[in-house]
Amino acid sequence: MRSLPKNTVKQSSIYRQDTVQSYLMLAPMLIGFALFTIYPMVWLIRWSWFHYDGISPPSFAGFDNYVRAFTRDSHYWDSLVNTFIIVIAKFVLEIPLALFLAVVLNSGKKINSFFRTVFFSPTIVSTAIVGIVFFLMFEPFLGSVNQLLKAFHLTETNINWFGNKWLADLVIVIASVWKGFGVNMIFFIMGLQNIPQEIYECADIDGVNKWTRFTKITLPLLAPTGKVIMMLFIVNSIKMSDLVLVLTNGQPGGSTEVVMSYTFKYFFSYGAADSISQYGYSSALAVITAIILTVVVGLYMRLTRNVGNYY
Amino acid sequence: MHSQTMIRVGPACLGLTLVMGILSGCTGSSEGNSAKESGNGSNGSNTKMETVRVWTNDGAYKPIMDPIIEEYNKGEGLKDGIRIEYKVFGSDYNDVLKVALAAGQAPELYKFVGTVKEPFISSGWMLPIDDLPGGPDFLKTYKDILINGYTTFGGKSYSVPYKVLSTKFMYNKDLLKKSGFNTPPATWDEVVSYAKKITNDNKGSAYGYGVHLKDSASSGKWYFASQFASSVGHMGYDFTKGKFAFSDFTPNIQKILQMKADGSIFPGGEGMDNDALMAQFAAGRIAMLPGVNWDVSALDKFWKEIGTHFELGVVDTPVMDPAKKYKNYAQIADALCIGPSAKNMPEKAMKVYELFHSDKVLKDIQNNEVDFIARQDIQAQAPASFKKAGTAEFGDTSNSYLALTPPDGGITVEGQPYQNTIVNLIAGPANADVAAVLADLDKRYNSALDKAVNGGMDMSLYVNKNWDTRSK
Repeated sequence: MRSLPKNTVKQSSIYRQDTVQSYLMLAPMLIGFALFTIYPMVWLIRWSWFHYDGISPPSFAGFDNYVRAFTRDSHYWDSLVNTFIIVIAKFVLEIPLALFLAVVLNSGKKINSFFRTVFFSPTIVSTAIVGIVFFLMFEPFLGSVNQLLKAFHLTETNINWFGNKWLADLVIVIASVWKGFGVNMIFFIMGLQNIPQEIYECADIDGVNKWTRFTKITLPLLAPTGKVIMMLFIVNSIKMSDLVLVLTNGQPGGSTEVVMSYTFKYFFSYGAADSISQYGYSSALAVITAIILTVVVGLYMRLTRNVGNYY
Repeated sequence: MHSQTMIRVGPACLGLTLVMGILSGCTGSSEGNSAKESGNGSNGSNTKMETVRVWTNDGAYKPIMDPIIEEYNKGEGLKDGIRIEYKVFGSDYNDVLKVALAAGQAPELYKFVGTVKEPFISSGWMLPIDDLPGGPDFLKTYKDILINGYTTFGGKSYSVPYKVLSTKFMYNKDLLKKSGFNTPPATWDEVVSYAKKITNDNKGSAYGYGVHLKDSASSGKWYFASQFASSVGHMGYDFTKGKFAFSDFTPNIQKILQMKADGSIFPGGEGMDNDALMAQFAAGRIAMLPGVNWDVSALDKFWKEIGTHFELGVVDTPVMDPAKKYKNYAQIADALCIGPSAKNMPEKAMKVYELFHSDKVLKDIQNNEVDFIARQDIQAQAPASFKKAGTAEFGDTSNSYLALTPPDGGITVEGQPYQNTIVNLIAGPANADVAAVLADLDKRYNSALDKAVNGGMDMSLYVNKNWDTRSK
């Protein structure tokens, strides 16, 4: 048997050492991921097959929780539809706004740095505070929005912003866009700064106008970043619950409930001391929502699989 | 070569250290517990010092209890070997407590939130006072007011009545007089007509009626279902039949929807909780609204903060039909139960339980108008006059019935709970089919009840053929 060259043995040993090191370096994160992400997910899936209130011993329910969600709980599906309405409205407003501001503020000028900071600042405000501030702004009796509309004679009577589904959803969307556009603007700026300047210089030499530069160079080269930003946007928006809980708590008539706030209320009694938590059913709702989210993201990834393949 | 090895070994060691750090972090929590226990040291004498933890969400009692506990910890507590650790939690208290109980981390004494204790008792999360040293003697004081199905199960008591929660109807006398009404409304028809006139007379600066719908759990029970009891004789569960009967609320809800259609309800109730609504009432922008006795303190607080004042009226809740009047809803509530960890220090846990229920504490709470105490011998020692408007009227429970505990806290209901269903009806469109929604609510609750009964629920606690709440 022919022995391996000395050099190859040495390389193989270095490779093995590197591999061990890599795993050791990854271990803390992987252990954390397994403990705090995978393990709870497994438990959640397990509980979805049980009737469990957190107090009495759990009893096996088979498919009952899933059957109940699909056949006897129209409110869950209403909340899912409302979630998509809010996500679409947010998408239409937030992404173009973030992109527009990113393009405008994408240079090293000091004033741009100031505005980037200003526009990013809503992101760091707590969602609870955002909810309270927007409630006070849109408060029907003395809220500043109604006072402003009356001052400009756009309305004569106070508008009850929380009195019907569409107005209340609008307030949720406005508050959510205000809180979220800053971080997306920063992501877009990062993407813009990765576009090679030489391409713009070539375009300048060719006498390309600004609009063509934007549509033919900026947008295509920003597409890979935009694809990730939009995927994160969709996932985070579908998972939204805190703002709805603080701002409307699902009112009026439960019509502004989103899928996560609805599921949350079965997990936690949320002030209803006389009602029993339904961990099994809420776990089933969480599993169904996760599957829907996976389908939406999978569809998005498939539809955008060729986006950014410009080389 | 040596330096290359070091470069590779270095990160490996770092990774290993991180892993060990995480693993040691996991064990750190248990060390934290034992450190806490080791904190229970000696007081200088031979008495072993131990910490008795007390958890509650009754924030209003804190100003009364803090100095009493501080004094005890510095005095009597040293002799008894007890250090009281008193914690007041916020709105997430119920969930925090359940998680702590499930994890075996619950305190020795805690406030139970809700009405049906059976699941807690059967899970071993509550200890009977009877079984603690000095417990039977302590219970003698309460023997006439213990409530079977609330404080007492199977002949053993798990808590004692502490306070009374009473419901009434509040109104701003100044606003009513301004619109020519010298007497408060006695029927819901009058409420609707008063509200309409007051709203029209004030041209947008004040409204006839007020509702808060954002905190649906509390609002649905205390500001709607309980307030309808004077019209229908129950707040959703009929003890004579042992069935849920929310459908009886149909005319009451229709009256509120009528006021909504008239534009007589203060706008924005959908986004308001009780505090937000009370602030508007205190500012003199709402003429009438249902009230619970805790609103006395809220109103007083807002008057001081806003700097407004008006003559407050508090009367029995209006009824649908004056010929069929029922008493106002009132409920006895307890303050503390004994947790399973009290087994480790039963004498000390009982001592602290007695301290929290001592005459001094009860009188301080009552005489400072923090709450309405249930024990009649303490009630008899109340001051002749009260500082807060409404205290005397809410304290008069001569036309109130003390509710038995309904079984809704022990059943698993599909769909929205009754509180949310009622609130959603009121927050929803004015032309909603109230009767159909409430019929569905009855069906869901009664099916859940039947299921619970089939599963072994003891209905003897929830049926009383002699249950009569008629107002004579």
